[in-house]
Formats: sequence, structure tokens, C-alpha cells
Amino acid sequence: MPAVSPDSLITRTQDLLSTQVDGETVLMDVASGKYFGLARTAQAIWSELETPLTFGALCSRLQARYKGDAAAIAADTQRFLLELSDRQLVTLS
Amino acid sequence: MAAPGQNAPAAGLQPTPAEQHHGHAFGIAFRSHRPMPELGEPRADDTAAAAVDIDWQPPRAQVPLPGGGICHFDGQCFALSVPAICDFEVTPRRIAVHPAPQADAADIRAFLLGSAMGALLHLRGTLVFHGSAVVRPDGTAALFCGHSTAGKSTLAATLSQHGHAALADDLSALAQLPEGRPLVLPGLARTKLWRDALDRLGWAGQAGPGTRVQPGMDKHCLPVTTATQPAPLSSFYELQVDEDSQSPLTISPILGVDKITVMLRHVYRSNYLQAMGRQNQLLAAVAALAPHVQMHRITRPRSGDTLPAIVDWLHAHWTEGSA
Repeated sequence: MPAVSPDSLITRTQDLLSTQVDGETVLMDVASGKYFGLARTAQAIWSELETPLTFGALCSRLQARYKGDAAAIAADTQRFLLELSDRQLVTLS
Repeated sequence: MAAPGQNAPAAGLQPTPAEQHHGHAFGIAFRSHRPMPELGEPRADDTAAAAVDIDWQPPRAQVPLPGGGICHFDGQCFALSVPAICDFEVTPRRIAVHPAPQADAADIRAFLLGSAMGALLHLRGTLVFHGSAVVRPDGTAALFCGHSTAGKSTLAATLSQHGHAALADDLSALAQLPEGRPLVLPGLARTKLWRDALDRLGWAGQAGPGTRVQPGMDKHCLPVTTATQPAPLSSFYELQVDEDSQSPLTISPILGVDKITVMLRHVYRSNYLQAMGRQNQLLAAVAALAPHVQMHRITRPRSGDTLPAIVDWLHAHWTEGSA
């Protein structure tokens, strides 16, 4: 698994359509016809990424929000970001 | 100015001007040289300029489509070939009907009002679901989608007997309002029901050899009084059948992204949209719809009489919170 460093910049992919359905965020990649539902924590992370953010900054915001164990938050967030990246919903640089 | 008769065919070749029949369905005015009782009455504001022609051609040998498939889109015309029944050529303003030799008239009509009509609606950019709709007591529309034999038409017909006007049968087309609220357009003024449903509804007397959907099939196409005004879509129900007769009737909400998955599953002939290269618009249209609509999945066992329980639940659901 490629590591995400604290300085990695996370940027949402352009041209995704997004809509709110029953409190979930639905992302649509219209060109490929793929769509994704984000709920709870996933949705919170996505909303933090409205403007590009480094992994370190994202983790500290989530830490402030959820008051959890910092290492666990970083590990979960990294896993989720790699998933988003696999699906071409964000770029990591 | 052209001389009189300049554009007319030579004498003797001119076809007898057949009587035009007018009808209306899915917000579209139709003209046909053959009666189309399945369409609703024409509307006062229907204009010939905006009408879609159902153009009945003489029977001919079927023409294979490029690529050998059952449908083909060349960028203008959507061609559909139903083996041993009919070829159709559909553009946004015309459905040309080319019956196969010796094809049965009821078969041709079934595909004209189903597949070809669906293709027309897709070409015109109208979202169309495989489902039947009725008008709820609050004036909004409830749409019942499901695969064949899931019970869409039977449930809609039963609800119409309980005073909920039928709005569309089998094909339900939606107009999207600018503010995003979808409207279900009045559809075909008919219903297609199997013998057991006719018996249950007390409509068996209306069915005969002439109403059969297909010659060997005890499924009948009957006229139904259908609402003439569009109604805003408020509820979408997915009807499912569980083959296990021990299963209970279950009704559960569908929320969030699952709404989009379920709606996409019930878009009428979505393979036509792929052939037309319009599947991208489909996802956006369905996603725009999802926030406006409450959705439930109704799963019933194949055997057993769950219809009264479903109707009771719907009545309760439609009146709760409105008192």
C-alpha cells in the first residue's frame, strides 16, 4: 500500500457532480456513469476537501472533530483516501 | 407560387387520403391512420405542427440491422427489429411501422406501444420507467416499478378500483420541472392484466379473444379511464417477488445512493439509451430525481394473497401526516 505522507496534497477530482440524497452525498462521474454514496465519516472527509488540503491538515481537523486516537484516525483516513484515489475521485500529490 | 397540383403524385398513384386519428399520451400529440384507442383523448392545445406521426407502412420482409442486433441508432433514427413481428424506425417526430409478413396485429401493437414508444420517449429526452402510476389522494403520483410479473399493473388496477385514478400503465414518463420536481405524465389509457387479476378485479366480462395481448396468451389489454393531468411524483415503489412462499410480505424504505441504483434498474429499456449514447444524461436525470421522491421496496411471496395488505399499507402510508 503506498503511504500517504503528511505533506501529500489531496485534491478533489474536477467535473464530479454531487447531490445530497437523504443526508448522503452522492458523487457522480458522469463520463463513466459511475456513482458513489458517501455517508457519515466519509461524507465529513469529503466536505473537508472542498479546497485542497494536505493529509496532515486533514487528519488534525478530523482529530479535532472526532477526538479519537490520532494514529487510528490517520490509518482509517489514509485507507479511505486511497480508496477515493483508486476510484479517481481525488488525486494525491 | 407553385402551380396547383405540382407536388401531387401522378393520378392513380395517389393514396386514398386515410382518415387521421388523433391521440395524446406522455405529453405528446399523436396522429395515426389507424385507430389508436390505447392513446388518450387529444388535448385542446395539441397542434399538428408538434405531433408525432405513427406511420403505418405495408407489410414487408424484415431488414437486418447493421451489426445484426435488434436495435441500431445512426445518430438520427433509432431502428428496432422485432423478429417475425415488426420493424420500427423511430425519430423524435415519427414512428414508422413496418409489419413483418403474416405478423399478428396484437403483437405489432404491443411492441409499438411498448418498445417503440419507449424509444421515442428516450429520443425526445424524456425519462421513462418500466412501471405503472396512480394518483394519490393528495394529488401526487405513486409509481410502481418492477420486472415482468412483479404485479405492477395488477396493483395499479386494484388501486384504481379504490378510487386512485390510473395515470400510466407499464411505461411511466417523467417531465422534469425547472425547480427539479418531476411530473408523471399521463400515459396509455389501458391496462394489461392476466386472467387471475381480471377475475379478482371482477373485470373478466370485459376480456375476450379480441382483447388478448398476444394470440396464445391469457393476458388482456383493456381500456382504463386515465387521469388527464400530470401529477408530481412523490413515491416510487419497487415491487419484488420472493419465490419462497414462506416469506412474509416486507416493505422497507430505500434511502440515499440506493435510490439511484434502484431507479436505474427500472429505467425502461435502458439498453436503448446505451445504443443512443445517452446513458450519461440518464445518471444525471435520475440523481436529480432522487431527493424529491420517497422510495420503498415491497417484497411479496409469489404465492399467497398479499394484495389487500399492500393496499392497506399504501392507504395508511398516504394518509399519515396529512391529517
